[in-house]
Amino acid sequence: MTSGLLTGALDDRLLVWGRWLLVSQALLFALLLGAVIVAALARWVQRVRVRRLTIAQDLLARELTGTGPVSRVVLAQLSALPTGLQERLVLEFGRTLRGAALDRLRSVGRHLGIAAQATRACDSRWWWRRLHGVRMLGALDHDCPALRRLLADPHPTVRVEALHWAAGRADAQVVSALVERLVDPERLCRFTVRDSLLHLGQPAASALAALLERRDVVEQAGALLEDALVVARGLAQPILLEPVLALSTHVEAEVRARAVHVLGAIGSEQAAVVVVRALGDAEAIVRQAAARAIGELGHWDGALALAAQLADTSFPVRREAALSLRRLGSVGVLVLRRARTDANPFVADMASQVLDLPDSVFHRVAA
Amino acid sequence: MDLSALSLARLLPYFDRGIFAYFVILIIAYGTLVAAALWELLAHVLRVRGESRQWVLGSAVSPSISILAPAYNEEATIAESVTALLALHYANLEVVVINDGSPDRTLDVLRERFALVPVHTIVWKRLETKPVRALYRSRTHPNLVVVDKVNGGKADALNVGLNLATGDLVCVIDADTIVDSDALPRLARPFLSDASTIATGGMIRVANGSRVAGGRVLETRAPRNGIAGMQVSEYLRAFLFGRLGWNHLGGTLIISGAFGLFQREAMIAAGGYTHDTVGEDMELVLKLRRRAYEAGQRHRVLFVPDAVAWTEVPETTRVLGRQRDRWHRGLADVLWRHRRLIFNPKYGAMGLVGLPYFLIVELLAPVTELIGWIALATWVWVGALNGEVALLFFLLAYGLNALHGALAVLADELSFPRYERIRDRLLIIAWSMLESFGYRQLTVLWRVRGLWKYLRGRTDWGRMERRGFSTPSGGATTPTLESARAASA
Repeated sequence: MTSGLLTGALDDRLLVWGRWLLVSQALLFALLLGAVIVAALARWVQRVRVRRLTIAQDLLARELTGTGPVSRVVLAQLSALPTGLQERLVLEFGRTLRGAALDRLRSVGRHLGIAAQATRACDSRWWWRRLHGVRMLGALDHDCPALRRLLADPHPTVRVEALHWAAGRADAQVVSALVERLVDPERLCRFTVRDSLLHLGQPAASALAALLERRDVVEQAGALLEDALVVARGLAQPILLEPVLALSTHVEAEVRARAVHVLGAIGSEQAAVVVVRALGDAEAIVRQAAARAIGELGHWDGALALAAQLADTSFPVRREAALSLRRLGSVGVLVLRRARTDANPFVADMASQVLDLPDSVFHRVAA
Repeated sequence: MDLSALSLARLLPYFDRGIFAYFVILIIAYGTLVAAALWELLAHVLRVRGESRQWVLGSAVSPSISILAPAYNEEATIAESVTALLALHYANLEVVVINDGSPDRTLDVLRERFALVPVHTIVWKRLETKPVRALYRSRTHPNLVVVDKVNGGKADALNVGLNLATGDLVCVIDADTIVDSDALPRLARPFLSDASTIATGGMIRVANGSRVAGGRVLETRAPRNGIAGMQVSEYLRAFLFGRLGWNHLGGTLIISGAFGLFQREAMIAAGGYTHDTVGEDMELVLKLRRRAYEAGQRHRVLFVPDAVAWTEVPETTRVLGRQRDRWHRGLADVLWRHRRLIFNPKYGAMGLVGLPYFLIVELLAPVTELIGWIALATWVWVGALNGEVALLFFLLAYGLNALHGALAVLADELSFPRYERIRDRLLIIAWSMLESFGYRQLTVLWRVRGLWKYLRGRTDWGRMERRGFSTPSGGATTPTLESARAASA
């Protein structure tokens, strides 16, 4: 009879193997337990360090709000701290400071050697070292060629941090690098670019207008154009009007909708004409954007066109039309009140709901 | 007793080799998951440590999030829960509370506390649901929407929430879940980094024993109650290794109903939540992924280890038994509904790795383990057991379990630690070492019972009783959470 594992005599060699496995398991377990205790103790030690950090925070905060050269005594005290704590201090303060206080922090960072170390880290072959470098330099609002190179770093996480840093630099080189990065393959990079360009504001508008006029960009469409139009809407600069008007007849509905949205933010008579025309677009997404844009423009002449959209077949278009009517003020509210008794229940329902919204809710929804 | 005469005797060796082979398969599966999870955890820690989330929070281009909070008989805690949700750190946030026909004063409490006013009730019915009775907006909190509907169960309530939500992303939580204040931007991050992300799930931690006040966990402690303590270790292993490992091996199949973030349009396109199942959270993820595979779309479903929500776990075997029974019925139901996907190469890693794992390792494990225990008892009874080998086998299995638990505590400690005191960590390791003596066997029985009930066609939720977030003496307390979740479906 064949013998089983648990019900027969097991080969001696297997038994020895089993015992060895058991011993190794016990050793490994003891090691893990030791590691947990060591890690926990390390955190306990860290708590002691946190106390030192708190003292250093007070010291540095006082120094940063002062005037004149940075005190040597304070620098000596900060130098005595472990590098990790020094870096933590810089990161914590750097994220919240602006102006003279940030200049002083930069000076402290230079004296402590943090800036030099971070600049070296920017050239490291390891992405996490470069990431650390760009974070430290970003906190110090430092600028150097090594950091600018990271705007095109092969690792997306590093690139994101560098693109975030770029929001504070309005020079042509950075702006053009940011606009080029609107086509970054990584979505988080594109998100950061959009955010940084919006922070830059007006200086980014002309570069963006140039991008939107490029034939290859217009033909490529897709995510790039949509991202660029999101930024254009945030910037809402007159220089963007011409290229955006051209995009309002783009073949892709998503692009047309975003373009109409931008026109609502920029304004002008030309924009108003295009926006009212867009209410008749075949795609609901464009009609919805147009309805919203009329409200944002405060284009009273569009009230009747909006009233007609209350009977649109699409729920979001009806809702946007009703919200825009209320946004128009007394003229729009009058139209909505009349619509409340409309024979068409879709019109009456939407008008009633939007009129019922408390002011605070309406302002949030309409924002 | 002479066994040689019985045919069983001839089968016995093959039978116990089969059990042993299953044991080896489990070790390989868990080992692969642990290795993948540790790699993923390291990469995630390097990515997010020192990162500022302020720019995600404050950016004008961040995606908007709607939180869906279904409530059923929550009058004691609803005001505090909703206040905590409204205070979450995320700029573009909407909170949708769905009162699922509670017979108690849940709606009255909401009306009084948040100055609700009724608005004309029309809903864009993109998903079929039970009728909506009334719609309310708050004068004091413009981002709060309250809807009162006819009772239809949790899935139906969530579908109403989906019809009403306006956010790009939808966060689904249980009304009694405590969400860390910075958890939302962490959970939203994968949506920013990859357009193909359709869902992300957060880490669910056990709040029993911790100090809780004002809808926040103020101090994390290990529970003194054994049943809850063993679940801490279980949750750590399940989330840190189980879910995180799947990020690397083709995407997770479960996003906990207690805390998950989804693309709203993808959810609606998939038909929302399914009503007639007790495993609606897994069923939704499978539907989303199945649809993406069938449309040939690249998609990602990820677990995010540093986005934390807290839950109260059962502290009695009676309630825990009902919960595990229901979880296993849900798993069986979902696997049966999507049986055509299992081992189907058309569904990529999900069909060839994920679903077979859930079938062989998760669904059938308790059955195999129970058969193993019965066989062991039979061999002892007939005197056929080789005691030395059996002891060795048991110790090896026990050792692996203890290693698994200790490794989870260490990984937690080195990544996103929550426990302040050494004794809490040691206590969790101790609980995990005690799991094999009674607790594990009970969970096997409950899960087998769940499977049996499923085969007999039982689809009820069972009643979940909560004792409330207890706080050690000297600390602040929250009112008892009596949340008997939507049992009435």
